[in-house]
Amino acid sequence: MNEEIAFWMLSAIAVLGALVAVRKRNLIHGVFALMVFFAGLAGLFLLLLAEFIAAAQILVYIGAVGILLLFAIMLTERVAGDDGRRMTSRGWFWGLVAAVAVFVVLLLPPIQQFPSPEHARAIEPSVKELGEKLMHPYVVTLEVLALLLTAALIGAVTAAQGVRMPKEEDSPE
Amino acid sequence: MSSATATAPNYELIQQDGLDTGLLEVSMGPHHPSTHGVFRMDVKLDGETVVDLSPVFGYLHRNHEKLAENMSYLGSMPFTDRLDYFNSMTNNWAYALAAEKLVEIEVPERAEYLRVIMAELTRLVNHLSLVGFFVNDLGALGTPLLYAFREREKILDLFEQASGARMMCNYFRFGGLRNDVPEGWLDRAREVVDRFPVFLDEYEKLLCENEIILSRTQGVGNLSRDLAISAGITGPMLRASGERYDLRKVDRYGIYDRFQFRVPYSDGDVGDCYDRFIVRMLEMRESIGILKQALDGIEHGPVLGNAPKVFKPKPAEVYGRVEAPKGELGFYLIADGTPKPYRYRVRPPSLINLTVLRDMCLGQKVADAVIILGSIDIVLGEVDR
Amino acid sequence: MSPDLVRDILIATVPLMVIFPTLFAFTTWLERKALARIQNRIGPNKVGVPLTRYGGRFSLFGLGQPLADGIKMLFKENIVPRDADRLFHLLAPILALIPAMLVLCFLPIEFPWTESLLPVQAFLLDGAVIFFFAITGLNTLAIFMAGWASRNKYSLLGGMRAIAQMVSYEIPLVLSAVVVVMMVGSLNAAEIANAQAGWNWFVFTPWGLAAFVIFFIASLAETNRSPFDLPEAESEIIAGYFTEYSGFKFALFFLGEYIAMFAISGLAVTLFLGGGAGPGIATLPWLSAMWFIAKIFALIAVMIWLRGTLPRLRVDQLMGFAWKFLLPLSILNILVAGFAHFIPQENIVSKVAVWVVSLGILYMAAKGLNQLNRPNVRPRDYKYAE
Repeated sequence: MNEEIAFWMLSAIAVLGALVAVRKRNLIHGVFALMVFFAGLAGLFLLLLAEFIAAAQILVYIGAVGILLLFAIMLTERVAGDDGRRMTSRGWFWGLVAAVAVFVVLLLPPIQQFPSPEHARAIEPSVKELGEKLMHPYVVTLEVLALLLTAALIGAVTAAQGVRMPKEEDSPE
Repeated sequence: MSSATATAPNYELIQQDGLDTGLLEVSMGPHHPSTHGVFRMDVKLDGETVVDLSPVFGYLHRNHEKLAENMSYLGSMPFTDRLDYFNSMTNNWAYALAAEKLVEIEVPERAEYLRVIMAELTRLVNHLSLVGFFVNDLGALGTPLLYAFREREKILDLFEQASGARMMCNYFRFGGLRNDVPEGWLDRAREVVDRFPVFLDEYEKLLCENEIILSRTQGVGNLSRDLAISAGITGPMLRASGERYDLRKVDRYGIYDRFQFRVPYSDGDVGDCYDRFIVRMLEMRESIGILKQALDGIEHGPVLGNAPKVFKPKPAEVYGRVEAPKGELGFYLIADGTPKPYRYRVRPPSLINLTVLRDMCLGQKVADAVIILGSIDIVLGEVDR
Repeated sequence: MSPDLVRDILIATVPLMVIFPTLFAFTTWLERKALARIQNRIGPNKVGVPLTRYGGRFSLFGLGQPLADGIKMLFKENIVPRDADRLFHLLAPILALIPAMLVLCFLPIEFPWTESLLPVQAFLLDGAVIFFFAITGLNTLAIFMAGWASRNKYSLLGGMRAIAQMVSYEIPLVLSAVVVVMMVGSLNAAEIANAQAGWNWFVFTPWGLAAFVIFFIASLAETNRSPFDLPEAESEIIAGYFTEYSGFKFALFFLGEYIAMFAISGLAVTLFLGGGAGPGIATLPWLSAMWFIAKIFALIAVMIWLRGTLPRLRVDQLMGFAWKFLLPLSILNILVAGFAHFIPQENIVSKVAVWVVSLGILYMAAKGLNQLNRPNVRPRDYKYAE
């Protein structure tokens, strides 16, 4: 019962956030609405007792992706977008069809048997287990991923240095 | 970024790459905590880097020069207090010096000594405030400033006992001083002077080798010797750029030739904020030396020479200048035989030192622009007049 | 909802929302008083009991000052710039406060009244420490929001500075905490605190000491405290992101900032200073919470002391310090911790050896990094003209 109320509230927050993010003309408002959506999603994860994923959701999506988006928006002109122009896609019909298709294929089966917290508790996705899985069977994968990310990081730094910063102290403001 | 006339190095690159990030124009001031009065800098920023800067001033203009041309010579003496309101004594002296050149007045011995004492105490007051505000601009929340003000207060008390006012002293007269110092004043002055090095030692230990201060000030706001000379910079700022020039040594006005003192100057050609900061710290020590000698040498006697009752000089042009704490403070007077000056002109060191602000700030960060301005040492009362 | 659950949640959370704002009020007084003493002043000493006629008679060292300040803040005019984004301008201070309050739940403070609770305590979560970092990071958004919504260039600069700074310093912050997580083998805040029961505080290990220092420095930057107070650098950008805030919105920012200070100091206490461990808790369990808060205040006192003493860094130096000094050092510290962990430390000799070797490595690394990064600054010699 409690969980259900929480579920519907969080879902409502997430859906509203997503809608506002899409419809809002003001880009900054849009980004913040997107973050509300992310937060709602994190709440849903928490409801499923997947606390690590919830934390990661906040840490990565709100903390990192969101701020990255903000940085990108700061570099664009006309942030407020109040000049009446709106990016509207002509192919909304096919978009709708695609969305419905995705919904049917991906979301319908789980909705029919929504994993109640009892189910979730049975799975016990504890952080400890996650850590052990990452460190024992998947350690090679983890390392490869880390290497890939490091390469990406170095690449980003090199790319950034090509654009500006003849002197090395320049900070990534 | 080492040359003083640096243009922002990054800006061209950004333009080439087609990434037009736009410049942020910030109007810093006139209501800004660290523009030291009603001064404004129109700053163009690329991120945090200053790519253009233009100083805007005149908010405090009060017609000082024209006012002086419409009143008697002595009448503008109190107004000179308000030029650089930290250093009313040296302002008085510069004006008195100019006026004394118009009519030959002999200044009594005791008055000359007291003038030197007052001027050097003023130098201490000025440099204390400057260093305090400078470190405050660096972000040290008031502590060094208040330490400096604690010492300044003692000197202002001395001024008050001598002249009746803490800052607007109006103490000098053509041919001497308005009144003698009260009894016991010299002993109190000696006490202050003797204790001052204790404070200076502590202050130097706290600030001069502080890692953050070093890295914030060194290489920031460079002013080369050539630019400093051609821009007419004077005072500690010029000496920080490596030029040996001090009017106390050049003109030897008053009785400065009787004292043993040295003039600190920077060895290199950098002239950054650190140099300007340290040169002032060192000057304070030299001032202490002068003060001690003057307090030893002073004798009893009159303090006001035989100045004419009506000051009505013959037509002449004179220029009197002193080494004010901020630089060369000069008064240029044209007398036309009436009791009023025909032309009265101030050479304000603050204003002239301020002219190189843009050259020093280009390519630096906003935070640097603030401390560069602080290291120039301006007082808007003198800049705007 | 079952009434039991509601009751337990209220018991667990409401005291936090009462205790910490009260401590905030006390801290503002403490900070003003301590700064005043550092600066050779007296500080607030007049207000006793506000709104009564006893205010003047019993000044109580000015302890009534925060209350009077709060009342003043409440009645001040709320000024919103004409072109500001009104919604975000309103939301920002609230958003600044929420994460700070929220993370207080993750601190393993064992108040006497929480003993009998159902396990609703957030710090018993397996991922408490990760949650802490995740939610603290949200503060950045609030600051950006404030900076952007104010339509003021100083605010914008402050907001941009805040984002750059907080994102950068989060990395050494987390990496220095990783050492402890590694050693305890848990992200559970209560377990971490329990692992340091007695005097086994992690700060008394070589890697713990280094990590604590890094953590403390990074937490200064996270909470915008001096010498990293660039986002609100008064002498440069007026008040940074809250330039355009007045009245109670400003007070909320202020409150949020101090609560964040408590929270991050609380995490430092949890991770390195033994949580609620301290003398006397075996006989008097309620002392544990007292010790915890006392340790928080010890850290806050250091923060105040630093604020009264240090000048501010510049933007590029700040970023350089995070990326070129703290980050490599905190990564190295993880290796050192591994080393110290696998060397058997039975007798005093091997213990001393581990200390010497670990701190030696870290010291050399710090020296080397300093040499590499440091701009060529040193005291200079000056000449005198006779």
